Amino acid sequence: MFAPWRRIVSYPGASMSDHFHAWLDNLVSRIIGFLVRFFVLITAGLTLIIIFLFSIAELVIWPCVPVVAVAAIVKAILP
Amino acid sequence: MKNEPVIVNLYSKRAKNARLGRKVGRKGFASSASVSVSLLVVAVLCFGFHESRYGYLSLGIGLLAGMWALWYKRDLAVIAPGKSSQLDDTLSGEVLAILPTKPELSVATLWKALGDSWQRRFITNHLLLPPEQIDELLANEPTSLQDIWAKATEMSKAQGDSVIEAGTIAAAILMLSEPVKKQLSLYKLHEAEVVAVTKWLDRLLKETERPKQHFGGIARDWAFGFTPLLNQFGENISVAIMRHNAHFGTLTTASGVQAITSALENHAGAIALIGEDGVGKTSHMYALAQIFIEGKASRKLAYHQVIGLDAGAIISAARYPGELEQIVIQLANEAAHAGHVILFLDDAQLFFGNGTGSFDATQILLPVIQSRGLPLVMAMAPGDYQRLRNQNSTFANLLTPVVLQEPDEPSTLEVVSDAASRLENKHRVLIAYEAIVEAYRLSGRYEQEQAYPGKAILLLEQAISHADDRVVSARSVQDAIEQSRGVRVGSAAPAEADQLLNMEARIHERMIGQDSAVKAVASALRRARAGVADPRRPIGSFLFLGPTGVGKTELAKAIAECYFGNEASMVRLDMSEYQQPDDVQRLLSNGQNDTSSLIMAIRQQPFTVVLLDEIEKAHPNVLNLLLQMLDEGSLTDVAGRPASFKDSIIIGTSNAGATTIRDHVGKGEALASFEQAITDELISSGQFKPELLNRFDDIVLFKPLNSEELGQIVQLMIADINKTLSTQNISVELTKDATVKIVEAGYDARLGARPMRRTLQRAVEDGIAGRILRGEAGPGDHIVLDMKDLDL
Repeated sequence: MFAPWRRIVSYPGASMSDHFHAWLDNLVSRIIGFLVRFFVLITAGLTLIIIFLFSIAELVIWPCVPVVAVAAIVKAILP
Repeated sequence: MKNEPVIVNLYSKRAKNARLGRKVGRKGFASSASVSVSLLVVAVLCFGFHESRYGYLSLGIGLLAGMWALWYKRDLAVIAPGKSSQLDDTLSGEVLAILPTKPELSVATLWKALGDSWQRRFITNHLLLPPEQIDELLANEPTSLQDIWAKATEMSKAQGDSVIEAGTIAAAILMLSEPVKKQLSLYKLHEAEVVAVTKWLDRLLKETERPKQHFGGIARDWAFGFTPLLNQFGENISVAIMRHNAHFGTLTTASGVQAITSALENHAGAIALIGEDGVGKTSHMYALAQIFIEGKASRKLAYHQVIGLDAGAIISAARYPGELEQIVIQLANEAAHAGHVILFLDDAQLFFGNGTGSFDATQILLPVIQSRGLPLVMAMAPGDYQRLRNQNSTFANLLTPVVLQEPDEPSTLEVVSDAASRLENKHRVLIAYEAIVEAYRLSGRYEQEQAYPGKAILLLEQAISHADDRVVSARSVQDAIEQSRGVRVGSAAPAEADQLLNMEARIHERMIGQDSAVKAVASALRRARAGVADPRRPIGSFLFLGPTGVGKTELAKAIAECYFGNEASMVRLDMSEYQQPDDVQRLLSNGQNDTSSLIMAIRQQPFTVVLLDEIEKAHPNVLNLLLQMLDEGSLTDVAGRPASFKDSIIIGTSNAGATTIRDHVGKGEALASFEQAITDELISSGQFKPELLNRFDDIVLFKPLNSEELGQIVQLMIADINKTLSTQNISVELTKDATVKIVEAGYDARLGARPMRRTLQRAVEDGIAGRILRGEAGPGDHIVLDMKDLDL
């Protein structure tokens, strides 16, 4: 979950400054990785829920469709 | 099954649905779906504009149309197999839809009904069978329908099908009907061919029904790092497979792919994928990539992708010294860093400095392999692997060799058939099954440098340009090989057949006498061209025995001209130059510029006469080698690669036994009467081993020429001179006395007719030259030379 985004990592140099910059770069890469994964997981979860709800709705609505269709035609024809 | 009558219930729910589904079809579905969507939109608009009456009407009709479309999509488009083992539950939806409810089903009506299926057409087209002819033959078919159903069920189970397809039933009819079987045999077709085409169709069906492959969803790509450089210098094989929805069928379960997988699982680091050109090294890597995509790889190899490197692109990108190495280092680093990458080096010898356009990257790749941080697969030919071992054993020892063997004949034919389907789609042609079998046979014989199945596929592709009316038949394949190899493999055309039947006369146009020798050779060549001779041996092999100057070499040249169309189609070796034991190596050398190598000569000119002069003088080791050449029609070079002599005519000549032949002929004996005596003498004197003599198709004795024949030879030579003089419009003729005089002067008992050419030069050509230079002969002159005119 917190792995660097697309394996983009910096390797520290000899100085303290290099160490700090590498740490900062890798932190940014990890944050980007976390955000992308987090939102993808959320989107996937929502998609699954929507599909599930649609399936339930289909189960309920499908047997009613012929009735609704016939009823609609009758209602249109009758004055 | 035979005892219990099997009845197809054509009024079952499956059958009714199948018929309805066929009637509606995809177009009906598309129309219903469009009407439904349109009306639902109209309904919404009507309600929006308070036109509720029209809104309800549109809604009602739209919903009905939608229900109809969904019903088709879910239940009618694809008829699922039934649950019972009853025939109407096991027949495919397509078959149930096309079977007629009236009249009562018979073999003939069943065959006719199957005509509506593309599967029956696939079978008849690929077997080149006229379907209307089968219709007629089945009119009074005695075979019972029960047997057809039983056979189709059996075949379907053997193929592992969930339902019995139309093609399988059509094949069962072709295999069981006696009148049809008789007709098939006229087309040189047997049950095996029908089964092969049915299996081909079955593989195609399974291929088309296969769901589209997915590369593990959108997040899959995020598991790898970015690979901009690898994208520039290579091809992501995994992505290519996914993009083109490619499928490598049975190859994914091949032993070669399993060996690569197991080596990668064992952290082999680098694998040398060894196999001859055409054996399918690249295809194996594609099949491996497909396994990863399908998620069938083990946990260790899960989520890996295969990237192939292009050596040519790397070389062309390097502009200054050292850049090449730099690019390779960057590529290796990028692949290792991206993770889950298997780097594939096709034609890996180009990375080892072997061959044109190559460079040496072994020093760069060595640490990569030693660290085992990046899985590498390097494809190369066995010769290149051997060369690598000799040149850089440290590097070669780090590689895990996986050797790919040529598939056997049935597997090769399957692979070639599957490739034929792709070629049919690409070139919009029909490739008959006989073309596939012919491509297998002829590529095996004439394409020795490559391996199956690649060489058969390549030949089939070449044959497409020879298709007749967009149909590739065995003849198209024969035409392709005839054009590329300059050899005749098809049945002899009438004109050619006539030439073969009159070969003796054609040879005698340039050769005098030696009737029995000419007849022996001509008969052997006719056998070979008619396809009667053993195809695993040379076209013919002869040992010509006789004194010098009697026409042995001339006959060899005549054969080259008559059979191969050119006197220069000859590889001539003086075997007296191969008297040392080491000379075997010279004969088998594979050096491109080695003029004394028989192997190289035959590779450059496989359709040729191999003339081995003074064969008895060669070292016994060399003669032992010739045993294999005569017996198996092939020799193996120093690198272990075969060279075929199956398209050559081997002729050994020898003066051994010449004195005995002269003695017997002198006594007036016929050649046939002392043939055995000569053979015995050659063996007892130790000049020839019996095993060598036995390997030749024929031992041909040449008798000394008599004066009449020598006179005819003189006339042939005069004809040659006239041919040369024809440019100056001058001709020359010898009187009978002059001819006799030249024969007397030019004949030598030891050298035969050989000195005749010199005598003729001196006596005729010198004289003519003098006359031309003195102005005594000019254009339009016909010079008649008598005995007194000769300068002897």
